[in-house]
Amino acid sequence: MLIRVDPGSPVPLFEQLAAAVRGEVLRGALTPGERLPSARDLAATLEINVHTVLHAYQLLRDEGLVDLRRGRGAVVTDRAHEYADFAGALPALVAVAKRLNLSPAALAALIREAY
Amino acid sequence: MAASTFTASERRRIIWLAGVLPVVIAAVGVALVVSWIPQLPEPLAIHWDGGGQPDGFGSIWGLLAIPGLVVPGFAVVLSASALFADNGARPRLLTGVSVGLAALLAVGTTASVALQRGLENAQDAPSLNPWMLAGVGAAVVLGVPAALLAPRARPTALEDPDAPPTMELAADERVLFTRSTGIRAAVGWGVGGGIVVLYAISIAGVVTSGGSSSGLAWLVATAALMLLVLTASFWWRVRLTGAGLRVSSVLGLPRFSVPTREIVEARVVQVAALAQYGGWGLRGGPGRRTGVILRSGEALEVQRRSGRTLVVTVGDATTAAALLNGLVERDAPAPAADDGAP
Repeated sequence: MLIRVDPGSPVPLFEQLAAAVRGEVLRGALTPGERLPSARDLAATLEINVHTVLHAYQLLRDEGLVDLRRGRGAVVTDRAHEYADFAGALPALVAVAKRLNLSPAALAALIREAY
Repeated sequence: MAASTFTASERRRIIWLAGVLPVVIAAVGVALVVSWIPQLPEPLAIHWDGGGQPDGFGSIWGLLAIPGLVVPGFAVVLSASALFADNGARPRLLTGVSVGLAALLAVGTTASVALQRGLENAQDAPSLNPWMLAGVGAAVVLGVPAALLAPRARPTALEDPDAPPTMELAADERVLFTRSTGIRAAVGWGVGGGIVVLYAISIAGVVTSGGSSSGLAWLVATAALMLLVLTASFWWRVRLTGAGLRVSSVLGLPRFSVPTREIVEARVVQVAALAQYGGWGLRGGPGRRTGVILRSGEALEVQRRSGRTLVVTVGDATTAAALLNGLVERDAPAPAADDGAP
């Protein structure tokens, strides 16, 4: 599992973190039943606030992608399998956006519009 | 075997040279000796002292075991080792030894019997020394060409011909890569189950034979220690952060930490556990390599400034190598800092 966060990016850190986890699920690098690093460990490693990590984990829990249990940490749920459906659609979408020279923000806006 | 280093025709050549040829040489010796049996004294001289006097006597059958059993046994072991060798000239060396040994032993045995044809008493057998020299000569004359005819091994570490993978990192970007790795479940259950069964049998044996309780305690303690060592050998975690790489067993020890600044480059390689490292677990490999070898297949290879190399078989090694190279590039000092001559 690879997590990257960039404090220099305009995207809030908790969103970057959640996006990184989603990305690893899509890539198949995180599978159901796998445990994410503890919030304390991840915060220390990435030198960010532990509340930022918890915020991201709560976001993922609300999405149904992880289970948060006291003492067990954050565990990837079976929904990870369903995320595989994105694996084909997303790269295609990104490819079109790149061909049209659309920024990620513009593509995101299009998706939001269509939702 | 994951990756064999030889083509089919090279493999055949090794089998013919290191496996079949020695057996043929020995068979000629056996045939000659058997044909002389009616003309031989009983018992036969089978050993000579340094001065050339016979000092050991026995039957013909013990002598025949040398070309009949020892040579074929060595031929099997040496040709198999040559087939799995992965280190340059090693298959040639093994082939040469297999043929040379067969020649030496066949000439030695055949000559020692030939000297005694028609003798009434084996005490009168002349010295074998000149024939042992002839055997050494035959070993060189046959072994060296056989070695030269045998193929060299190509390293099976098929290094990625492309540039090593890398990912671009922002100046202040923070990263974490973790992945666990271990031997295949079937291997784990096989080894663990085997040990449990062995110890269960031993313990049952001690109990039913009314053995001492201290013996029992010893058995249980060594069994526990064995399982602990196996766990530490076979299940590992790879963790990569801005600080560098850490490879540690699930028990925490043994552990390897490589700071980013000590890394020259990371690569993805294909590992053949048996051929290159001789097995699984913590292993030494060719070219100052330390291997955490848990399965054959993709592995992360990290070249250190010290000249040593750490290899760990782990999934998603391409991501790990790219991240490490990205970190190394980001931390590299500006070119100007490089030209400080002493």
